[in-house]
Amino acid sequence: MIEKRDNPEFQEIAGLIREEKEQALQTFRRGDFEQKVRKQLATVPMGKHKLFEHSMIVPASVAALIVVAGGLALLFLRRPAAVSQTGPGRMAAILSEWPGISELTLSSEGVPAETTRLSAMAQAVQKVLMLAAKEKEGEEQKSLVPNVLPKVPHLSLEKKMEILLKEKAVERVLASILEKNKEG
Amino acid sequence: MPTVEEARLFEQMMTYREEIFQICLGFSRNASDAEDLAQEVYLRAYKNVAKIHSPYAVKEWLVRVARNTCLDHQKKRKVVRVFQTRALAPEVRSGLPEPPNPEESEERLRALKEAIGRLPDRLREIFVLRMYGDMSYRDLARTLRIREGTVMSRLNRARAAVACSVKEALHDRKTG
Repeated sequence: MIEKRDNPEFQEIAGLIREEKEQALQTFRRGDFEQKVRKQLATVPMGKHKLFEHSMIVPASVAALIVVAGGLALLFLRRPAAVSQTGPGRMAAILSEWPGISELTLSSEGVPAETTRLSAMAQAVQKVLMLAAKEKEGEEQKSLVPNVLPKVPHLSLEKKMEILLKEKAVERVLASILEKNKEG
Repeated sequence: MPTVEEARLFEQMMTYREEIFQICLGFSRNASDAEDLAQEVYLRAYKNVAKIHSPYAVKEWLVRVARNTCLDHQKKRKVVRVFQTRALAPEVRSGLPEPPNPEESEERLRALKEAIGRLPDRLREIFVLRMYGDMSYRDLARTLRIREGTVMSRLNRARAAVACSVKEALHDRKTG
C-alpha cells in the first residue's frame, strides 16, 4: 500500500512489506490452515450465550431515576384525598376531638351563654362551633338547589316580527332625535 | 455443539483468514509465528462467537479479536524477553557467537520488524492494520472506534517513526 504523498524512504518500506506479505501468503496457502483450525476447535467447548444477543445496559443514574419516579407515582396513587375543610369548619373538627369541649357543646346546645355562665374562652369556642354548623348547613342547602336556568318563553314567528318592528321604530325615533339635537 | 447459525458464521469468518494472517504477520516476527497467532485468533473467535452483535460486522469484530490477541501475545513475549536478558550475565552474552551477516533485504526486514515492535500499541495497531491488513481509513476508524482524523494522524506518526527507526538501525549496522 503506497500512498501518493509518501516520501521515497517510506515507499521502500511499503515495498518491503508487500514483498514480505506475498512470500508469507504463499507459504500460508500451501498449508491447510482451515483443517488445522477445525482440528483444534473440535476440542473447544462453545460459549453459553445466544448468538447476536444484545446486552441491554442501563446506566445507574437512569435506573435510579426510574425507581424514584415509580415510587413517587405509587405514593401519589395510594395517598388519601386531601381534606378541603377550611376556616371554622376545620377549627370545629379539631376542637370536637377534645373531650371537654365536645361535652360542653352537647350540654349548651340551644341555651344562651349568660345562663350557663361560661367563660370567655368557652364562649369563643362555642361561637366557632356554631359558625361551622351554619357553614355546613349553607353548603348542604346549596347542593340541594337545582342548577336550573329560567326558561325562555317560546314565541311564534309573528310575535317575534312584531317585537323586532317595534324595536326598529323606537331606534329610528331615537336616532332622529339625536340628529336634531346635533343640528340645533 | 455449535448451532447451524454459528457454524455458518464461522464459515463466514474463515473467508477472512488471509487478511487475519496478514495482520498477524504484521504483529509477529515471521510467517510461522503469524500462522500460530492466526490459529489462536480463530480459536478465540470461536469461543466468543456469541458476542458478535450483528452479522454485518463479522470482519470488524474478527479484526478486533486479531488485534487484541496479537497485542496480548506481544506483551507476554516482552515479559519473557526481559527475564531472558536478565538471566544472562553481560560477559556471558558477549561471549556468544555473532550471528552471520544476512542479506541486505533480510536485514532491512529485521530492522522494519524491530521498528514496528518499538512503536507504542496505539500506533502499532494502526500501522499494521493499514499496511498489512490493507484496511481503509474508514474501516480502521470503525474497528478501532476512533475518528478518521485520528486514524490519519496516528498513521502519519507511525510511518515517520518506522522510517526513522529503520534508517537509524541500518546506519548503525553499517557503521557498528
